[in-house]
Amino acid sequence: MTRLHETGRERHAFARILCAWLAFAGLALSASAQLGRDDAVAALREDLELDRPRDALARGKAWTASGGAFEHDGEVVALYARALLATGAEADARAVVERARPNDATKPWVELEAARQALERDELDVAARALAGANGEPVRFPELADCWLVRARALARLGKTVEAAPLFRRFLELAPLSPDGPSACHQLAQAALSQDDQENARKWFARAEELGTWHGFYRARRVQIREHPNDPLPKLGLAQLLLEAREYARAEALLVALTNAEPKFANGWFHLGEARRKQRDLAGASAAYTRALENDPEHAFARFNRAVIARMERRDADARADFERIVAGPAGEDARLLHAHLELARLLARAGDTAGAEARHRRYVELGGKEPLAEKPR
Amino acid sequence: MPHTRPSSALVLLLCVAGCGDAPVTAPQSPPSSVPAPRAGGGATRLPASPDLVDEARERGLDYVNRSGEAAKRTILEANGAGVAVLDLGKDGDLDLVFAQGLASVADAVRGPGADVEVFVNDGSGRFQRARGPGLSGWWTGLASGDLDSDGDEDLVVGGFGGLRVLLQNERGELVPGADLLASSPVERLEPGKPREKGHPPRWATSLALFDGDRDGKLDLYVGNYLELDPVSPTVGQVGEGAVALPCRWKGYDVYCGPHGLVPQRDRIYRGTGDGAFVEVGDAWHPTQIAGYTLGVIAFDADQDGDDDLYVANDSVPNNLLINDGSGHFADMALTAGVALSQDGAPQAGMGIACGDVDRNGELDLAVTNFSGEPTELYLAAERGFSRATYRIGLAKATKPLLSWGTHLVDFDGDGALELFTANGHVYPEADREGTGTSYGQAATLWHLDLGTRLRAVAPQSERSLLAPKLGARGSAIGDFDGDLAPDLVLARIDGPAALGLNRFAPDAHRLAVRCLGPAADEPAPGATAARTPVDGHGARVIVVPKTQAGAEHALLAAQYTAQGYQSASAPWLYFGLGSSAEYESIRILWPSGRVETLPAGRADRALTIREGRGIVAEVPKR
Repeated sequence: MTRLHETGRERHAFARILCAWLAFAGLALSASAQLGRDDAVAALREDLELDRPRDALARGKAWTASGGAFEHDGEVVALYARALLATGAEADARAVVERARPNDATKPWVELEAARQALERDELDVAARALAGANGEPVRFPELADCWLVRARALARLGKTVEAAPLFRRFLELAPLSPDGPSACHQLAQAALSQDDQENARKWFARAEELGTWHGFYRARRVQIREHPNDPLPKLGLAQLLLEAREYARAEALLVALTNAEPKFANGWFHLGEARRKQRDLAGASAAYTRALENDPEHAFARFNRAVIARMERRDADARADFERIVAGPAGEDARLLHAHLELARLLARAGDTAGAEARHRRYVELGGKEPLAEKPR
Repeated sequence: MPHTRPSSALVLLLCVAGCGDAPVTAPQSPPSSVPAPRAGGGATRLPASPDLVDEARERGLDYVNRSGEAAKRTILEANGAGVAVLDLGKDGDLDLVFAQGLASVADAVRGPGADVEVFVNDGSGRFQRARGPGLSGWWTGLASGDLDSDGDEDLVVGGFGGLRVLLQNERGELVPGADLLASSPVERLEPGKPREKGHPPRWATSLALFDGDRDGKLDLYVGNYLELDPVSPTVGQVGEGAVALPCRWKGYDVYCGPHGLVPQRDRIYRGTGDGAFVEVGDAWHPTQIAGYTLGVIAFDADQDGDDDLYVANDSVPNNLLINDGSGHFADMALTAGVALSQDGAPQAGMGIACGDVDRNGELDLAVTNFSGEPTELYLAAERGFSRATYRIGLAKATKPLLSWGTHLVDFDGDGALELFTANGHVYPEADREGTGTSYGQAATLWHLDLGTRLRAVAPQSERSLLAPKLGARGSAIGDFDGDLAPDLVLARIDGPAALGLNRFAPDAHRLAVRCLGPAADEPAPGATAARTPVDGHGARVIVVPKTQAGAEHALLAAQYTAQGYQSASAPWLYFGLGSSAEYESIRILWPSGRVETLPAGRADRALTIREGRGIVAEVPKR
């Protein structure tokens, strides 16, 4: 997986997605939901991303009605308009945007939505002009990632792929985990191709495919969570995706919630350990691995990782106990845990058990290991 | 795309000059097999109105499609059937063969199976049902061409568990020939024979005949769809337990697929010229990735004189298979800009049409897609293709539609191509609240003027083929009544077929052209080893209308029968000359590599041109 850089904006977005799940699970379509505006936005986005436009419609209608909780919130109004468009109510969607009375802070969202609607009507020039910045600035609302995206799309559809390219790039910087990320990468590939830059075209095509695959799984996991809200597996799958995307803090938040709800779920604890280990919280990781092992003493990966941490912390006895248990069991034949033999051999050598160390190292080599027994000086 | 194309101006200049071309043979008398219009027995001609008037019923075309149950619980029931337009009996008129499905998926196992349905034209455009070849199955797509090199048109018919050659005999009947699944019985479905769970048959959708190795013998590309077990079809969800995904669309439960079901690999067969085929897919396209194919056409994408292929896949990237001239293909779709949507997403490719929309001497592509996705218009460009979809408003016009069969044809005879799409949603749930679309959808026709936004052709009456909001799938083009104006036959799903008689611009001058290669027992007239197929498959024709200002523009069309979705159009090329009663020249780029230019002549004729012999038959407009 290509590294996806974490930004404050993305962390915030993930918190909003969590809130959206809560909204879905606990409040469903209740018009009287006392959600914060970020939660409302997250819930609407989630509905739209998961092809549930009627759910978004029901929420949005109540929230944006006269006297509704988010009547003057431009972003909520814009998402409601998008839900209308997704259900075929094009004229209503247009009317919602035209009649909106957003507060100043959220007014750009409504103007952005109007441009997006123009793009949907194939009014490419209108969309491109509406979002053009003043005084030669590329876009009108540079703080909104989608503003870069929509204007870039309008330009690309007009055939101005090279002009659109920097806008797509900026969009990716602002919203690297957006579901529109693969699209932006694809457009950058096309722009590179148009300039006969085969190398960058290949790079961007590959990234588009990578991101697209990731988003496909990401979407599938969220659908599974909606379908099976009490089952830990889809949530674990989602956490694994976040780990893959190097979104460790988000993965940790999800796994903490998961293990709180499912304290006997060893794999949940193991992955919580992973999320913490990746953030260099070794103590927290070790504690999570221990909880995994309490629930599943045969969880060799949790044991291995706990042992590695123990060794790093010079708790050799703890490490040795875990490595010995691994190599003595069926996991000792698992190529993925080959290093358990090497680590144990080195621990034995450090403890002065030369014969034991050499015997263990021979086994390591028999299983395909290549490293010498002697440790490289650190 | 690595190839640079000649500019339109160059094409026109070459066309007018005709330098270096082969000698031309003088026209001969019309063939005697063309019947005279029936006195008093033909259908009553309706008053002219700018429309495609559905005259199926009064012309005896009583085909009614069966495609499973109305609820559409499986994807097999949603895809409908295709139709082929071909001349049975070599009598000069165009006949029809429809694929046919069954009333339910259970019937596909239980039997009896369906035969293809044959309708013979009496020469006036009136049809009579004829005996079918006696097949038994669930049939979907058809391809037409001369498979045994005997000078008449044959068929390949594909289906759910069936892939069969049908050869035309001397009486004009279709007789079962090679069974292309004979060597793989587990992939065959024989309705009525016991079948165990867990053996999904091979499911052919669209088929295309082409000449990959330029040996003059037609080869076959078979698009295959996915694995569906008729004994125990996947229903409700894909996957199991907590990681199962519901089969749902816009919040409604729908049939499952294609995602979540296993795609089947397409197959390529080399034709031996005697009605037999040998599978060569691994050698000709070794890097193929299975991809839920629904549409395939052959055309010369890179203008190097050989047949390339474009494959429309459902929910995965489309393929542009570029031929190296020997039948070996490489997929160039991504770099040519025709694999994915503008935004880089795979679309649900269904049907494909090709034609020279911008009259620059290169073939452009139209590709139909799912609702929420536009029908795409790709214009051949210096490198690959450029997308015109959004610039002309085609995205806005087509996103509510789910489209299948498609054609780029000059219906109104003005020299500019129109875009036709057969439409209809796959989910009956489309009629429920908040989907933004509908199950039944009217067929659509647009005038394409690339300088402005496209203009829809409005149906002129309720009898218009464009009026009823029904579901359609396959469609094919041919002139059924001899007026040289291309008509359109539409295979609707779960309902009667439509026969749209062209009532656009009856005063427009037109030209119909049919190309033929040398007979199988004649030596190839060209200097190279490449040979034109007997039926002229792959010939490209450039007609220059004669106008008061001289030769203003050239019209290009290519003779490939696979067009649209699961269907085969007539091998005739229909040119609209507008107010020009004459043409300045006709230039033919034969698959053999030979180039011939015919001198000026009168319009309003159907010309049969044989390679090396010029016009061998000439029939005036009726």
